[in-house]
Amino acid sequence: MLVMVLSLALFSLSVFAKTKIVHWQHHSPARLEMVKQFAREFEKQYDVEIDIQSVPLGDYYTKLLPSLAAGSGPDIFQIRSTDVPKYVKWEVIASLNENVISYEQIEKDFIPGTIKYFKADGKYYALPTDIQTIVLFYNTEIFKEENLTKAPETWDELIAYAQKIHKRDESGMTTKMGLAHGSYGPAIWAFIAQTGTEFMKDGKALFDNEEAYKAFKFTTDWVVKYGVEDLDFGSRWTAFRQGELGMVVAHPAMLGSFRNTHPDLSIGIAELPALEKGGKKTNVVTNWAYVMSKRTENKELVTKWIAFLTSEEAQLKWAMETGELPARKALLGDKTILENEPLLEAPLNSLENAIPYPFEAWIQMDTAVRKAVQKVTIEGQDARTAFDWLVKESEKIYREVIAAE
Amino acid sequence: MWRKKYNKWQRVLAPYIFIAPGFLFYMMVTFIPAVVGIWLSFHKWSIISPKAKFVGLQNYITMIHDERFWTAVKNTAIYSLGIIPGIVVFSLLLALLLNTKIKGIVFFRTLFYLPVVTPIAVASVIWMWIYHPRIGVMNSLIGLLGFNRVNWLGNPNTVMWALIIIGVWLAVGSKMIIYLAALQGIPRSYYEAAQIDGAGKWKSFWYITLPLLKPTTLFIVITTTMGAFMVFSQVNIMTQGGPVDKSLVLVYYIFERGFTDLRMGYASAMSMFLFIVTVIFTLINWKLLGRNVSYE
Repeated sequence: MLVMVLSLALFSLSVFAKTKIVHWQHHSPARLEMVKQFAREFEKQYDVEIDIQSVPLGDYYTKLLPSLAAGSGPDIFQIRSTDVPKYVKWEVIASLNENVISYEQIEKDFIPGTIKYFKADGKYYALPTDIQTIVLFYNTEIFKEENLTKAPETWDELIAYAQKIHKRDESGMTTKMGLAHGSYGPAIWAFIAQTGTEFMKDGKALFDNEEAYKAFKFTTDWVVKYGVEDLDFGSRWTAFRQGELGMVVAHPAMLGSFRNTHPDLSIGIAELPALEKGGKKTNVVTNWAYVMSKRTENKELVTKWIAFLTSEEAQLKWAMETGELPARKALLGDKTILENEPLLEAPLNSLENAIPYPFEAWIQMDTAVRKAVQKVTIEGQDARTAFDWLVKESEKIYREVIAAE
Repeated sequence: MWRKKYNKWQRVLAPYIFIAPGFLFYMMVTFIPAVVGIWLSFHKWSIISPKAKFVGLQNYITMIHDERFWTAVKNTAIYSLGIIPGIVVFSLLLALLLNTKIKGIVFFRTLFYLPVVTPIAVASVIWMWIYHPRIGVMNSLIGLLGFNRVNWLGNPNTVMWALIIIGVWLAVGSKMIIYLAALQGIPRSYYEAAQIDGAGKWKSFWYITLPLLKPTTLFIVITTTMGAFMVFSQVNIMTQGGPVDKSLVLVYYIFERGFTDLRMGYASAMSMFLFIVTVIFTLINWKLLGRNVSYE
C-alpha cells in the first residue's frame, strides 16, 4: 500500500513538476539583474522555471567545460562568439529551433558582424549577446582645461591631444596621462583594422603588410615615441576614474562601470579616430553567444528563451539599463536609447563600422598581440621584429588551435 | 569462543574500515585522475569533444619544441629558487623569535599566521594595491629611501621578485608553526648541558638546534618545493604570466593550454613532466638533506 502511495506521489510529482531551464552566464551584477528580470517575465508567459547561475568569468570555462563533458551542463549558456564553430564540431550545442525563429529572420534582423560565427551547415546555433566595440572615452573636464572642444578625429589629432594633456613633474614623473590602450588586444586590432587590411585566411596571416605594420607601430609609439602612455602610471581604469587620464580606449560597457563607481566623473565617448581626415572609423566588434546544449530536452522552449533574451524589446532594455550595445539593426539609430543615455551615440554609430573579431582563436590572439606590443613597449624590441613575430605567432596559433581540430 | 572470534576480526578489519574513507577519497581525487592524466597525455582531446584520439608521443614532442613551455619551466625554477630559501630562512627566524618569552607572544604568533588563513584571491588583490606603481605602499617605502618608483608587476625585471615576496609572505606562517613545534620539542637539558660546557648561544644554535631541526627542515623543504612548482593562483590573478611571459609559470601555462586552447592531451603531457620533476627533486632533497636525519 505504502509503495503504491509513494509511487503515485512520485509519478504525480514528475508529471506536474514545472519544466526547468538551467541558464549559465559569466557574472556581472548588472547583467545578472537584467536576466533575472527577463526570467520573471518569461516564466509568466510559459509554464517554466529558469534557474540562473552567474559564474565569475575567471572560473566560468573551468566550470562549464567539465560540466558539459560530464553531461550535467546547463540547457543554455554563454560562450565567446568565436567558439561557436568549435562547439558545433564537437557536437555539444544544438541548432536553434527554426519554428521559433527562422534563419532568414536572423540574417535580416541582426548586424552581420555579430552573427558571423553562428552559422554551420545552413543552420544557426546561437544568437548574440554582450556586444562590444572599441571606442574612445575622454574626460570632458580635462578637455575643458586644455581648451579641447571636440573629440579627436584622426590619429594625428589623437596624439596631439594626448601630448597636450600629458603632464610630468620636475623629476619627469607623469602626473597626468594623455592616452592609454593598455595593450588590450581588441583595441590594437581595431587600429590595425582601420588600414583596411584582411587578417587571416586558411591559416595565412593576411595582415603581414606595410599598412598594418604602421598601425601596429602607431599603437606602440604611444609609449615609446610620444610618451603619452606611461606604463608606470598603474591601472588605466584607476587613473581614468581619478581624473588623471585624459583618454582611454575601451569597450562601451565601461560606461556602466565608471558610472557605478564614480557617478560624477565627466565622461565623453567618441568613435575611434580614423587614420586620416574623413577616413572610415573601422572598428572591431566582440560579442558572446547564447547557445543551447545538445542534451537539453526541450529545444523549442530553450530557443524561445534565447529569442526572448535577444528580442528587440529585450535589447532595448539591455542598452538602456546596462549600456550594452544592441545586435539588432532596428535599434541602431533608436531614439529611446539615446534619450535615456546620450553618451551611447558614438558606441551605436561604431557598430556600423565594426568588423567581427578577425580570428577564431580570440583569447590566444589577444594574448599574442598584447605580447607583441609589450615586446616593444617593455622589452625595447624594435616594432618591425615584434610585428614579424606576431605574424608568425598568429599562423602558429591557427595551426595549433584551429586547424588541428 | 564467539567473542574471541569477533575480537580477532575486529582487530583485522577495523584498521581497514577506518582508513577506507580516506583511501577512497585519495583514489577518487588523486590516484584515478593521475592515471587518467597519463592516458590523456598520449591522446588529443578537447574535454568536450566526443572522442579522444590516440597520438602516441606527439604531445611530448610538441612540448620539447615549445619555446613558451621552456620559458615557463625556467620561470618556475627561478620562482622556486627564490621562494624555497626565503621560506626556510624566514620561518626559522620567526620561529626562533617567537620561541622566546616576550610580552604579547600570542599576538605576534597570530599576526604572523594570519596570511595562512587569508584566501589567495584576497591576498593577491591586497598585494596588487601594495605594488601599485603610483599609490602603492611599497613605492612609498622605497621613496622614503630615495629610490624612484617601480612598476613591480609591470616590469619584467621585478615581477618575479614581487611574486616571490608574496609567496614567502603567504607560506611563512604555516612553516613557522611547524618549526615552533619542533623547537619546543627540543629538551631544555641539552642547552643547559651545552652552557655548562661553555657553549655560547651561537654554538648552541649551530650544534644543537639546527641538527635537531633537520627532519623538520627536510619536511619544509620538500613541501615548499612542491608548492613552488605548483604556484598558480597569484599568477592567474595578478599577472596572467606577463609582462612578456616573464611570470609565466608552468601550472599557469598548463591551465592556459588546457582551458583556453582546450588541448587537454598536451596539458596532461606537461603535467606529467611536472610530476616527474617534482618526484626527482623530492628524491634529491631526501638524499641531500635526509642524510643523518634522526627522528628519535
